[in-house]
Amino acid sequence: MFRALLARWKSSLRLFEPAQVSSQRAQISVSALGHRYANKVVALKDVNLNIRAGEFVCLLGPSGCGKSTLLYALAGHVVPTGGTVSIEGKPIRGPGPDRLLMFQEAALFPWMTVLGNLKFALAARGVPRAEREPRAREFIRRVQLSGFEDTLPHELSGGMKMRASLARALAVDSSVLLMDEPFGSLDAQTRVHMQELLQSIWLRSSKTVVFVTHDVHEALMLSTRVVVMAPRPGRIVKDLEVHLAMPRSGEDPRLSEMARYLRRLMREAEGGARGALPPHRPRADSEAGLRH
Amino acid sequence: MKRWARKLGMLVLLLVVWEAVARLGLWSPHLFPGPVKVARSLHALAADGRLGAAVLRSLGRLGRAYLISVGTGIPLGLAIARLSFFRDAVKPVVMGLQALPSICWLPLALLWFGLNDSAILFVVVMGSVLSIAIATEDGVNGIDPQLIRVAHTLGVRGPRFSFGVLIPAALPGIVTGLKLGWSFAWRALLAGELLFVSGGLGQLLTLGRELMDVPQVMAVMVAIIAIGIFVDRVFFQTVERRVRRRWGLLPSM
Ligand SMILES: Nc1ncnc2c1ncn2[C@@H]1O[C@H](COP(=O)(O)OP(=O)(O)OP(=O)(O)O)[C@@H](O)[C@H]1O
Ligand SMILES: [Mg+2]
Repeated sequence: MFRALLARWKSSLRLFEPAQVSSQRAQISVSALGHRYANKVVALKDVNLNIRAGEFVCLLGPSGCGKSTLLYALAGHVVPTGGTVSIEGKPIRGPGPDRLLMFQEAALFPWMTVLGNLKFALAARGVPRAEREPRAREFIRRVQLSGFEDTLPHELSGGMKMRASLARALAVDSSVLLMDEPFGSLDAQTRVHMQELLQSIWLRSSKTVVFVTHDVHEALMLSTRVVVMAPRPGRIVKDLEVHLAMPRSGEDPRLSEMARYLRRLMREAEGGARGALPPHRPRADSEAGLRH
Repeated sequence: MKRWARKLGMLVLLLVVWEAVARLGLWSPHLFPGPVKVARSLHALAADGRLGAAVLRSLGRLGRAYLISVGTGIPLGLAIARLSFFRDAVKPVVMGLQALPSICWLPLALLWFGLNDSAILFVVVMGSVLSIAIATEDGVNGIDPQLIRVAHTLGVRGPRFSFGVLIPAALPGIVTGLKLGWSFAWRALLAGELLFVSGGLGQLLTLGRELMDVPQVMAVMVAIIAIGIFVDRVFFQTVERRVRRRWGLLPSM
């Protein structure tokens, strides 16, 4: 008993602490959320999640576990088929100026230059005309796209498009930032730069960030809280706060132990779902085959 | 360069064959003049200003009617694509009227407006407005839904959404519709001008027939073809290519 406690204390896993946030203290509150797409896929089932203002929450989980769906529900782009999602006590009924969703794809307007895309977004958010251009240029510089202000999106590489999209999302400066794997297509070095940029902006502002990722290490570098999800049906299996000071170092040995733990959780999440539904598997596969 | 040479070669060949057939004398030279005669007639028409006046008159009409078509067709197409009332109630009407060849509006137009320009304008508008509206609707329906979602999350609304997102995103489709609308308008205009005399290229054709002046008829036909090709190839294709390049829809070099 004592020995187990000591081991736990010595282990860096003590830096993980189950998150307990009551819905009263939450800025974003998700309760009994369920979503079923028109093709009968249950993307989310009974999801409960309370997020405080200023938290950096990473949604972690294998592909297809409903991370994007949950994020879209927070953004108001998906109307869930069950449960409630509210922000500051008010139910979410569509996209709003308090939130900004950054999609898994860059989704720039193809007929506008990089600068044009940023200025258009700032105009839509009511930034005065005179401030738009300097602010847009500032964020383009921060994502290291200086010199590409007047380039059209289709003339950029995939990673550059994603950075332009990040610049647009950060320039808009809404209080909640919902990000769907924004760094998935970046090379390792740019990725680290962008993570640092996002973190420094988050540290200086009081933004709430909900960040979807596949990457355990990325989640540990950035987040104050890691939410691990499992597929079929999409649900939350673990909700842990990360008690580790920022900024964090990638070489920190404690991180690798924590990463191992999260990877095991993710494997279990995937394996568990497989084990639980053996008779359904072939049918689900043939259905998927028909859809394509 | 090679493509130009081919086109030019084909044109020269056509003219030579035409001249040869005309000289063979199978038909009376009055009824089948060769290109040289036609060119001479064209020159005469141009020299005494009749051709220029007719072209100006026709294009002036066409321009006015086309502006009206564009000004109503694009908003109509946007409304059909975005508003459920228009989709359910107006679209079937538009599709139904689209089946009617535009010249069939002429009798009605003559009764409504009398024998004047308005009647022809009406026919031309009816000939092109519907196809512009339908192409615009297609363009809007073909917009990547992701762009609409981005616009919503950025809070783009109202006129900024229509003019800043909807129309530009649908522009490649709209331009194709404008081109189609133009060719319909051009056809409707000449059909209208042929059927009721009122100046313009159509009248010049009718006049040539009445005077049994086949070279003049052919000369006017050549002028009509030239204008048609010029506007379609030079103007619309350039605009279309520019738009598609900017939108990233063309393979870049
Ligand atoms: N538009 C849709 N229509 C029908 N089913 C959908 C739709 N979008 C997602 N799904 C299904 O819902 C489930 C969850 O999808 P979701 O996109 O939320 O997963 P994800 O966790 O974001 O995956 P990834 O990490 O690969 O992006 C998947 O099984 C998917 O097949
Ligand atoms: Mg996803």
